[in-house]
Amino acid sequence: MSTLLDIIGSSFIGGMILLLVLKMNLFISNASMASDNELKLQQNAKTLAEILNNDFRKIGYKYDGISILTAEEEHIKFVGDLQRPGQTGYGVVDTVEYFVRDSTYTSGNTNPNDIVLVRIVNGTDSITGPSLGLVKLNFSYLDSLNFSTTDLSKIKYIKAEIWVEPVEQFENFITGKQDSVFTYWEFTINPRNI
Amino acid sequence: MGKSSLIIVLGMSVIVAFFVLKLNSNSKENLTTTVDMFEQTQSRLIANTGVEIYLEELYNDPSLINTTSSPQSLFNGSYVVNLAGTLPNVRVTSTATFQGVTHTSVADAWLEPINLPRMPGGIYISTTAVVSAKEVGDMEVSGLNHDTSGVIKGDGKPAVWAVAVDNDAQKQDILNNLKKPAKLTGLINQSTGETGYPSVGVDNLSVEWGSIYQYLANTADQTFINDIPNGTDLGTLTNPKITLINADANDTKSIIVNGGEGAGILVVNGNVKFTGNFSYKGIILCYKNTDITFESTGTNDVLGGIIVAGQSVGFKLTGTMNVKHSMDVINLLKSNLKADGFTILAWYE
Repeated sequence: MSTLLDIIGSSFIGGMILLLVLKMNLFISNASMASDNELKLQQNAKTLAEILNNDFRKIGYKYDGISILTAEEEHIKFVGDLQRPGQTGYGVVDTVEYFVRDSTYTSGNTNPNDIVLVRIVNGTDSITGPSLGLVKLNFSYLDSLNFSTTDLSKIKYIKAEIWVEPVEQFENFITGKQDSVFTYWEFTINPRNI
Repeated sequence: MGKSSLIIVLGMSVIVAFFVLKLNSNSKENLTTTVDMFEQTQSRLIANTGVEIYLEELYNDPSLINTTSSPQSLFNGSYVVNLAGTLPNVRVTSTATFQGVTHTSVADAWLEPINLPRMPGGIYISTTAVVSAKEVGDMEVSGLNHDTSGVIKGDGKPAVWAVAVDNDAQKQDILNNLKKPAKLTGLINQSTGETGYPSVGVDNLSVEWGSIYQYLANTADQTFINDIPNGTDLGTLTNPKITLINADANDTKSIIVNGGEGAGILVVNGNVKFTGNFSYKGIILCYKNTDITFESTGTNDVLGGIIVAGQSVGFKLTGTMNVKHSMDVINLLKSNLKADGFTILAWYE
């Protein structure tokens, strides 16, 4: 009898421990995924910021006229040579356009809010594909005194704001709801050639 | 039982350890993402600073053109600058490295010459200036064209007005107060270019003299707020200087220039007394409340022109004062005055 009780008791305890291990394993997997997702979120935000930062600094390079052709909240078009002396393509002024497409244009992700940032250089779409988690984009344009302006010839600063969410959204293991994690990145660029 | 517990504990420890390592690795990656951005920005800023520094270096020492600097340390990084081109044009390529991240900035710049105001007369009096017509009439002013020695070139044409003013009222005031009209020789008919006397004409430059004064004051090679001893280098035609004499900044509000000679642009503000014969080749700009006194009983010469743009400007003469227009002098100033500084034409970063 006592042997039976020992077996039942140890099985119960063993089962509890096994469940504990399984739950911990699930928690670890979930936390690990969340951590990976956040990392990817940061990297995506940084990638988007780098692309915009890199191009916006070339606005007006080697171009004498009004360099910004379109200045809207989600749409900017400008001219400037993207290559420096010595690089292939230097000497040819490029036309660069950025605008966004809605979530129907995205692929490979589950976030219904995401949008795609489209970059067109000289009429060719050079960056397409995943949204990188971008959900909102806003450009604003400032004059030399930091006042908002719509006059293309007076734009001296471009302020870019991006909101990025995880590409893959999943339920939080503890709360059972989708995490509302997002990154907001804001930067103001003063292109030296305008 | 003991072994089982040990296996379970060790197993869980391994799982937790992997988890902690994973979180740690993600945390590091996250930090790297942020640090990467900082390193790129820092590298770009160092490269840009290198451009600025070496443009200043080149301004002070033009022989640096077509040279490459040695690696220079800055903000815990380093940069190397190459200056290429033919002055006044230069291309500055600055390559910076910070924590292994390299950035190259390229700037095209142009050495901008000093922007000299146009001289419409031997003496030009702006409309804001209050100057005694009698004092102007006491001078010998010639709008005929002279060479750098003060000798009239040919027939003195093309000539300018001996005295140019902004409006007819000013012109009439000077003509009414002239005792010896023959002292003001130069252009008398703008359309024909005819010369003679009295040469007083209207030529409104519409210039903001406050800005010009500030511009010249900022670019001055030397500034005096105390008396200037004899022998002080006020420039030569081959090495002209922009000299600011700011008597207003002196406790006594007065500066004495002890004779001598000079060339360039002399910007005068306040009460300035020239003792001993004074000879100047270039442009004298009298600004704000200026009283210029020539105490010598000898001859004082200005070859180039005088601009009277102050609110109240007076000339007190003991001896003779000759003001002669000279395009040769003005052209030499344009060629030989140090440049204003580099203007950026294009900047890649």
